Amino acid sequence: MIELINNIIGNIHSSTPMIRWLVYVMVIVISSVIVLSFALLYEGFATYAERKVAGDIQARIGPNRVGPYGLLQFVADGVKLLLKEDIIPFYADKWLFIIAPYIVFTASFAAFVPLSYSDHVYVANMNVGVLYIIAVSSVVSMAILMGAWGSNNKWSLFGGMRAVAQIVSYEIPIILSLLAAIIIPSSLDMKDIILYQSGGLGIFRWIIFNNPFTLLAFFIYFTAAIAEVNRTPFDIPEAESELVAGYHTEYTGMRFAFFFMAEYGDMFIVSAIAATLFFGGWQIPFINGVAMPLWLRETLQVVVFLTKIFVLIYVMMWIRWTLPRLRVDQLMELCWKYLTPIAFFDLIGASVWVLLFNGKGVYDILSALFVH
Amino acid sequence: MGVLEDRLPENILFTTVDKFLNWSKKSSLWYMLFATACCGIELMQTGASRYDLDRFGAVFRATPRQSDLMIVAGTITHKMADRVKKLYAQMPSPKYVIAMGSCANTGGPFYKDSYAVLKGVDRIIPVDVYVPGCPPKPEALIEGIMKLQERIMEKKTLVKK
Amino acid sequence: MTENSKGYFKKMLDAVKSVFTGLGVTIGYGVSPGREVTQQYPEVKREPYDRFRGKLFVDINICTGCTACARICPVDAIVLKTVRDENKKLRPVVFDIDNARCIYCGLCVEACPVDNCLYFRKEYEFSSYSKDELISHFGLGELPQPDKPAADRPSPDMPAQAGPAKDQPVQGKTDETRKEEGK
Repeated sequence: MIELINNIIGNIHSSTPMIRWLVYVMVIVISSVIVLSFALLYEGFATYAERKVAGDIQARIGPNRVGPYGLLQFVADGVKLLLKEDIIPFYADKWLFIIAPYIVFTASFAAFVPLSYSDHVYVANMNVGVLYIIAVSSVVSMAILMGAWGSNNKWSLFGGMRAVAQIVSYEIPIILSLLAAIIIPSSLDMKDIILYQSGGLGIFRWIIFNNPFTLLAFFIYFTAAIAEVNRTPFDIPEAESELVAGYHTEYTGMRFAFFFMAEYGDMFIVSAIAATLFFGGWQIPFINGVAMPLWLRETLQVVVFLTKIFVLIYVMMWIRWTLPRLRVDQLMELCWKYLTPIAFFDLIGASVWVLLFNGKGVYDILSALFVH
Repeated sequence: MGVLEDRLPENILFTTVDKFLNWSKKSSLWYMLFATACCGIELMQTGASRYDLDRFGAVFRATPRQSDLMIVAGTITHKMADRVKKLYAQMPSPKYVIAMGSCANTGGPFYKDSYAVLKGVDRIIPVDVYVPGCPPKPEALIEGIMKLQERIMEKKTLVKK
Repeated sequence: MTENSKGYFKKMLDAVKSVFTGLGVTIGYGVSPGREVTQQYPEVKREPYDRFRGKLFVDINICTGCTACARICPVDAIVLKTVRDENKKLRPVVFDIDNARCIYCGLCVEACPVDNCLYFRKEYEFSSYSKDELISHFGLGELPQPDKPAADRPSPDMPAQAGPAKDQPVQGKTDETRKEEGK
């Protein structure tokens, strides 16, 4: 965005620093408003889509009375949550209790920033994009513990401790499997990773098809990412409310809505990383070489990117309504005894492949053999 | 609603805003999973596939802090009555109660000779809709919820009563 | 170490296979339209079975006033008061059934000696805002009395004087309730 502003108002370079900083701040505010509205609109529709997908899989109809086909359901939910009375328990730690939902939402929303939605549409092009997203998503676990401790409720504390244990443990398979994918384009910048995957009809140079090791890395990453977001089958912290109580027991009204929306925001982020690193980001399949006007190409790229993300989110919802919930010791066993060793060996295998074939994938080798 | 409640005159703008607020309250009635006895099974069936309560926007939440409808389904003993009162107090307003089945209405089959059953849940909490039956059919419970939705639409929040 | 790690790879393969089997089952429901079993309630109502126990109904014109139903009801949901009229027949003056208290057990239907007098109907949608509305009044109401001083008011066992003929409609508060209940 800063380069965009420099391009548009390039001659302001020579003006006073005060005006330049004022323009930058205005640009930051406007871009935050745009990204925030996109994030909130997406999160509203995600709650509606979740109930409809759940209804389809469970052989029933989801909401269908509230608007046409139930489309206004999230509006009704949001307004109702705003109208609820705000209860803060008497013995609760007041500042921790109040701040926790804001931090969860901020951490989840701040990770929308380094994503590149298309060739020229991005908010901020960081050269450490992937590292930034993983670091910011870890703040969520701290904020959950703040909320759980501040509730002064023993079940909230259990839920919060289990949530922190789960999120911190599953960071390790995530990072290892992402490393197995990052060593191929050798860059942490989101845009460079997507540009590496261009060519080859827009499909065959995806990093997931590069290597049998990256194929395995995708499945490890996806499993660990579902655990990171606290979705079933790993939702011991939050749907423990179906057993005892979760970390958001004592939150009413809009404070609860922040936790709720942050979960869907996290789903978007995790799917966006998977789509960028493994599935080629905004590369349009099959018609990438066709000449078309710039606005059409950019729009198509944004649409393709969002489609890949929504397909992955549909897969996450599909898994939620299929599998039963894991017990907390089974969850820890899965992470430490199965996913982490496999991710280590996967990383070693991917490194050996890169060493042997000099970073070329299966498609590159085959096309070098058969098509001179 | 605090400061704004019950203060504004009754003209077309504020009654429309009231109608919008009431529409949002009635379209997303989140009920608390409170199932004590046989009526609880009928409550679970009403949320299941054949008679779907999710069509009306009603999902179940397990904690009273996030629910605005408590469907008292089942027999309430004197030991449980204490807890029912606490759970009702923990729900944030606006809150509604539906008494489902004979046991919640008037103590049910235990009316005459039982020393341990609370004869009707409206002795401890205010009830909005009574659904009779032993147990009521899921369609009868859905009709009770629709009657509650009609009552919610008639409420005046912003406008002077 | 070996007994804990026995079947390490077998467990993994089992897990992966069962997850994909489960996903295959649910996707069949997820993508194919029209597999819902929901009966959308206010538009689609299923007809209950023949012996379904809905609301109780009394055909008051053939009730003999024997009070067997009120005596056998386990929760005292039936209130029955009778008066002898000029033909020495018992007329049920007050016959209230409290539908909130009734447990739909059917003992009163079995105890009633008259065929087709007290029976269950198929109506099940009658929730209300207060318990008073749930009481059905089937009684014939008090017979209209001419103005008499308090000492000469008829007791329940004496025949009433100057009552209306049996086939004329009886005034009283039960008329409109009978119209709406007895449909």
